[in-house]
Amino acid sequence: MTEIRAVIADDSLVIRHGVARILSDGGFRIVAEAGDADALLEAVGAERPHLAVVDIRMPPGGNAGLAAAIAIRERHPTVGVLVLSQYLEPDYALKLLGSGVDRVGYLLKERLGSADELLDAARRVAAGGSAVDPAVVAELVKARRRDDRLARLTDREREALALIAEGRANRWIAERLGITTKTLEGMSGTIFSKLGLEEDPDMNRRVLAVLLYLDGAA
Amino acid sequence: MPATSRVCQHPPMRRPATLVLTLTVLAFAGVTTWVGAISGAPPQFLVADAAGGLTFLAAGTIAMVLRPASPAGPALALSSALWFVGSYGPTGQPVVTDLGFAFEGYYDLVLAWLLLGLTGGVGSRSRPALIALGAAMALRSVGRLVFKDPASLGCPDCPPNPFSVLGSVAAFETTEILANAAICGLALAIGIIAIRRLAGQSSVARQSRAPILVAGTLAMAGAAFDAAEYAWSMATGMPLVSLPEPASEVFAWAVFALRVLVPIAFLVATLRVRGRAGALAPLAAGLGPAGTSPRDGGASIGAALRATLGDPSLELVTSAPDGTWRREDGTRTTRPAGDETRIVTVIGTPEAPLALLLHDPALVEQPELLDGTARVLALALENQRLSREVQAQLAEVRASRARIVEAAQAERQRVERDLHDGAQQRLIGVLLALQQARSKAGEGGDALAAQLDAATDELNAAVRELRELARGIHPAILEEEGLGPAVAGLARRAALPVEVDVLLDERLPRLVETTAYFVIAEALTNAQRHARATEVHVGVRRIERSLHVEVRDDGTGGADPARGSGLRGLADRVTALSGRLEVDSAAGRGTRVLAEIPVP
Repeated sequence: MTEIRAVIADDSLVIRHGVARILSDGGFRIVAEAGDADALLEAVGAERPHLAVVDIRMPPGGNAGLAAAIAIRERHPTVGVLVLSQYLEPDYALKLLGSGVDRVGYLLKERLGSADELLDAARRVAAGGSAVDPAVVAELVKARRRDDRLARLTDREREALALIAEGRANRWIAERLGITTKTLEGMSGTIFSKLGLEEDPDMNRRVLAVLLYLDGAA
Repeated sequence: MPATSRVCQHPPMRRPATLVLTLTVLAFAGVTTWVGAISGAPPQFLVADAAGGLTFLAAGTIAMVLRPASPAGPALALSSALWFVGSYGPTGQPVVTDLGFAFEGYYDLVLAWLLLGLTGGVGSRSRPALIALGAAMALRSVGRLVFKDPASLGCPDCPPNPFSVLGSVAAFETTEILANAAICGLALAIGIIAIRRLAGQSSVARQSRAPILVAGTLAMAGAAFDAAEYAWSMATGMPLVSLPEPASEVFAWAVFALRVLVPIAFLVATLRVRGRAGALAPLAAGLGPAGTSPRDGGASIGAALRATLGDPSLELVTSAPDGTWRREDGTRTTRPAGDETRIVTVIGTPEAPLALLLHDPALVEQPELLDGTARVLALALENQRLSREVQAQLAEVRASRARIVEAAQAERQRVERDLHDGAQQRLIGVLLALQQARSKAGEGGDALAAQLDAATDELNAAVRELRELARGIHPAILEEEGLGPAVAGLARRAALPVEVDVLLDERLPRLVETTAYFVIAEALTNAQRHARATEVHVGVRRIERSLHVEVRDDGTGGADPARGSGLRGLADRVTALSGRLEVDSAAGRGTRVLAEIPVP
């Protein structure tokens, strides 16, 4: 496996070093660290890493980290961007995703308490996939709707839907649910038709469709 | 009590003087009539003569009481006395008969003076006419006194004239013809002067003086006719106008009545002007609750004054709080002084005047109207001043309330930032440290690993709670992304379906957005907790210069902002921004919360 090169940006030194340590221990190579949005953009432009881990709030102020992350996705489509946020706000996640969900992730900062969760998300994003924090997806799934098509789903189908929205791979979901990949594929077909969605074979596009459905129907 | 002072042209008559003058003339009239009665004068003459003379006295007395500043009262009383002088002529009593004949008709001189005085004063051009009239009358008196000898005039039974030192028929007739001809001409001239002056008067003056001037001019015509009659009959031995009985009798009474028209006209004019004091009612109404803006108030008060006093030339100059004088349109001016065409009436006290009225001098003849106007105006201006003060205080209170809300808002936002950037970052730091410790503990130390996992879970919960706390204090997404995404978040987290309809394509001032957000948040909480609603609609629209926020549910209704502290607090927040919160919550028909928040 080739070494994954990462840039880390956070204005808090403690957190930056903590994240760097977890990623290094997980086999990432940290090529640069940045304390503000400008330094981050500069480092990404210079290093072209596989992954940029970005704090949503950074100098020069406000959600400058989020803005920088969006800028990286526009300028360097090959760089994966994982935003670490203290905000449980689906709007930020959807804003970050924009029109595509490849190489992007939105993770709440409390996931730093678990090295596995951070590494898992970082690897998925660096590999071209997506990682949306389960709590963010849960907030979308939880929302009460007037015409609630989600109510037509079984509990298991709803669980599968949430995992799809998080950007998990089919195999991972199947394992988690204790079913075969084949069964999962059948289940996801049912889910999509119950929601009235077109099933897309491309996984990333499927994630986006689900997220937009969840957001739009709310 | 506001008082008025004004330029007075005559010292006002005092009440005791009025009483003394009236009683004196009355006594004189009584004596005259009594003498006439015992001398055997015809009763109809006595009644008519006394009635005519007393009409003058009555009008004069009323004028002295109601118009102490006007010369008309004393002039009319004097005319009354002079009227009774002539009444001795026909009595046949020695001495007084000749005195009465010699000094009859002097009231015409007084009436001429009054007429000219009321039409703008006895000026340099009319004074000679008046003096000439007096001289002609004096000449006639002298002739009648010293030349007239009843015996030589063919009246042997008549009592002798004790003053006839130079009894001469020719001299008597000559002076009689000359003097009466002059009196006739001069009376006509004075009448014409009066009519011409009336045409050039201001509308105020015309209004109040027209009846007196018309009557005065007719009286002058009567005087001219009487004099002409004397001169003509003296020169030709024939009457000037020969009419058959009873027409000649009627004609004689008509000429007599011409003089009496003057006091009657004066009474009519006085009472009519008094009636106009009732015109203050529309003035008071016109002043009304105006005065919200000093400019506006000034203009509307000025218009009301001009209408009430009937003086289009009137100007109101008010004293501004900064010590300057302001015209009705609010422009600065210097303290005005009166001139020939307009005089100044001070409103308020002379030491601290509220305003000055520049108006037609003729208004002084209507003191009730002017006094009443001044008092009403003083009240109105004082009221206006107080109203301005209250408005200013209210504006200050409003501004300070808005500042308090803004400061509270800024404080909430600061707390939210501190929680996110301070406490929460530190907790994440601790979380990372725990994670490191956990990885070092490895799989071996089971007890330690379990303890670290428990601590991590606890810390995670703390981070989540802190996040909810910070969002409740002030949602960061409202600051970063605006009202739409913030309200969408509220809707997602609500325990019931919320239809959100936020139509905004712009960011609004922070305080407006925050207030709208908390209105929606509180209304949603109410709908979920108390109203047992199944569905809520949230609408946000910018309509011109305000943001309209509507939250409507299908619950039980019955929410009362007076009781629920949540809605009460919302109303306070909204009104602090000069907005309006309306809660429509009839039992059984759901609740509708409507807020209108001005966008500065």
